[in-house]
Amino acid sequence: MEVLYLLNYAIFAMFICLFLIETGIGALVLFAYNNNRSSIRRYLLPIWGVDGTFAVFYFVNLIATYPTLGGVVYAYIVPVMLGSLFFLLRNVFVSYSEYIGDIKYESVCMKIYGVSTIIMSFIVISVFTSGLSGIGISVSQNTITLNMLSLFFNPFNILVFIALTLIALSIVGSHFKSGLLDKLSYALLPAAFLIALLSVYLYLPSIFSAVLNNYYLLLISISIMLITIALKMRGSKIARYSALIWIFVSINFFGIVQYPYLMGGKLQFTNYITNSASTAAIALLTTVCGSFLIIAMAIFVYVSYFRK
Amino acid sequence: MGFSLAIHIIFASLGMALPVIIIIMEFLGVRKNDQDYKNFAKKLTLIFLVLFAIGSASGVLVAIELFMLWPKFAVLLGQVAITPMYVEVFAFFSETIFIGAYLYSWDRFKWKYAHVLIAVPVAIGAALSALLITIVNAFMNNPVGFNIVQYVATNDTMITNVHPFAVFTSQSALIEISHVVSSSYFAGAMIILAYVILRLLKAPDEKTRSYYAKALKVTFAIAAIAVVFTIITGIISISSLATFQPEKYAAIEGNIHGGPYAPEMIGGIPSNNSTSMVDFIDIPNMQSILLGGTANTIVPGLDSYPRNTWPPLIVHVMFLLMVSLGFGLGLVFVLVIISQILKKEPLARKLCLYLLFLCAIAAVLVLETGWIMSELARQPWIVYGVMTVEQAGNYSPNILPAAVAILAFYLFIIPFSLMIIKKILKNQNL
Repeated sequence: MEVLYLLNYAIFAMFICLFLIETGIGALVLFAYNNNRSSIRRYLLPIWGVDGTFAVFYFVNLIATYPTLGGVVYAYIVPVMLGSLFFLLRNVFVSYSEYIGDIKYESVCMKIYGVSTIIMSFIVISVFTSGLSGIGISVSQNTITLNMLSLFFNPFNILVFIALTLIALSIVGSHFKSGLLDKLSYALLPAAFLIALLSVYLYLPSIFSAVLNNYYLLLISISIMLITIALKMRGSKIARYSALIWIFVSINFFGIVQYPYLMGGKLQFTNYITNSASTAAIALLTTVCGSFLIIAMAIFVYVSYFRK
Repeated sequence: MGFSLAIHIIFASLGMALPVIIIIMEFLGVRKNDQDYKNFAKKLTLIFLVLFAIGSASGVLVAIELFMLWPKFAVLLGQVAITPMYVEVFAFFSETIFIGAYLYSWDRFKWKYAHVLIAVPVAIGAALSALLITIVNAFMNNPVGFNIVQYVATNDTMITNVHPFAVFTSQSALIEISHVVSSSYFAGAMIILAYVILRLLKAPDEKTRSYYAKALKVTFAIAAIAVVFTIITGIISISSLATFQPEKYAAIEGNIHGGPYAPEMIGGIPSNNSTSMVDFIDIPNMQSILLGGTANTIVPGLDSYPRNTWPPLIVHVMFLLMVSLGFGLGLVFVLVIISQILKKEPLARKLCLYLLFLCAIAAVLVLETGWIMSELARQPWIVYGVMTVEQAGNYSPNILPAAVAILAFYLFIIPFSLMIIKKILKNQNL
């Protein structure tokens, strides 16, 4: 298995983790902003910029890893552009909300932020599930065409979106005073897991077989989920982080079982990976710059959250 | 794409200049124990945050558009010259991380300079981002790092002998970087200068006037330093084109015919289906002297190249506009600085403030004109001598709705952002 493939998947998994926190907060903003205002702002404001940057990081890494994948990516131009517009809208309104200095306007800005984030999340997940399953896209010899309706409104996509939304709600349920959500957060993770597994079983049978063949990965994932639930039930704060670790690990495991297929087996990653010289360069730069990034993130977390 | 970039470079220029001004303001505030400087740094930080949010998102749009609208170019870039773009993401990351840390750590340090230091990586990240993206642009002007002959001979299919880091050593990169970085600092500082002047002119009392007068001096000083570098690097940049992109040089200078003893053309517009120039005045030998120091220096002419590789000659008009405005700006700065040395206090005079305000508008115009000219003058190439714009483009009708949506969105978001920034600043009372 190519190192760059794993690296690209790890960046994707990290992006999804941060993105799920934001999607959950986006949902919470719509229904319980006033009750959670201070904690939402405390957690959201430092991460939204980093999350957006991770999206760029993933995109550039994707192009660097698979430069000839362009034909496939271009097929998604309309949803990607649409997602970018909501990304812009989300950025703009969250920054407006921060210093607008008027609770009424702040709440309106945050609600627009919440709606934009959820719509963007749906678009991102739709593109991801389509790339995974090939649903909504037809690949002939030289052309790839997209059916927008089928891309967004197919059962596989809806199931995955529900599963990821449940995970997002579970994460915010652990962080904020959200009443029912707080109580339900124990059940949301296994529900999300079962829905995700069911969707793979129904719509990606070849990957489901690969999951069963790599059963130890499935067992590790289930174990982390059970530990997370146990920690949640004990009221441990670590549960907040172990849920994220569970998602991060599970997405990477999914990458391993998916390898090397793309679009439900219609295409293979290995045909698109960059030349050997660029592979070495990208791996080197990711290691060097990534190390710097980790140091910067540590300073950021210390200054933003711990230093009083 | 052009529209998105035209907007993005304004945000990018502000994104580069603002952190530098913020650092200097806060540093002076701490050093002089002057709350005015600190408050102005805070005020600029708020503006920076909103602009950063829009600028970073517009940067994402530009990146996506780049890969979506120019698929063949994206493949070449991805295989040969992706490394600067890749490192740029990390520079962008450090900017994002440290701007977050800076925002949430006001008054959290006993040693007050520590907070100033947190903003330094923001400024470095912003400058590095510009530098690295300019390296990609330099690759488009002077491609290196792969077997070009084989690539062209195989009809743009075989990319071999790839050197992923060669793009950093492109001969034109250093010249281009120095001009882009200095002109971006200049344009960004001038926009802030315009804002300060507006506030100063509207200041209701002496306290407010004193507050903005301090900001004016710092911003003016930064703009003055930047304008000197912009003019010097601009002159070097034009001369280097004669070596690296002779057609571009010839079109910019309006040279249909090359050779020694070339005159410098003042004025001139393209005529006869862009095959000749009319309505100009010649300064004998001047172009040759400017390029090589002697009158017998040979300057490139377009007639040495196939007609289908000639850039549009309108770039000569844009060049004249850019150079006249650039030198005009330089002259205004020289006059203001001389007046300041003679203790005439020019920055306290309304006339001078109005003049500097007009200079700020001109500075943005110069930035945009310079960029459009530079890109147009590379036509018909997207990667000089390797790939034409026509070859690289994506002509799918699918992109039209998205392009219209982006255009409409920018038209909405810019005035709306300005309105919000105004409201934020009013509410914060800094």
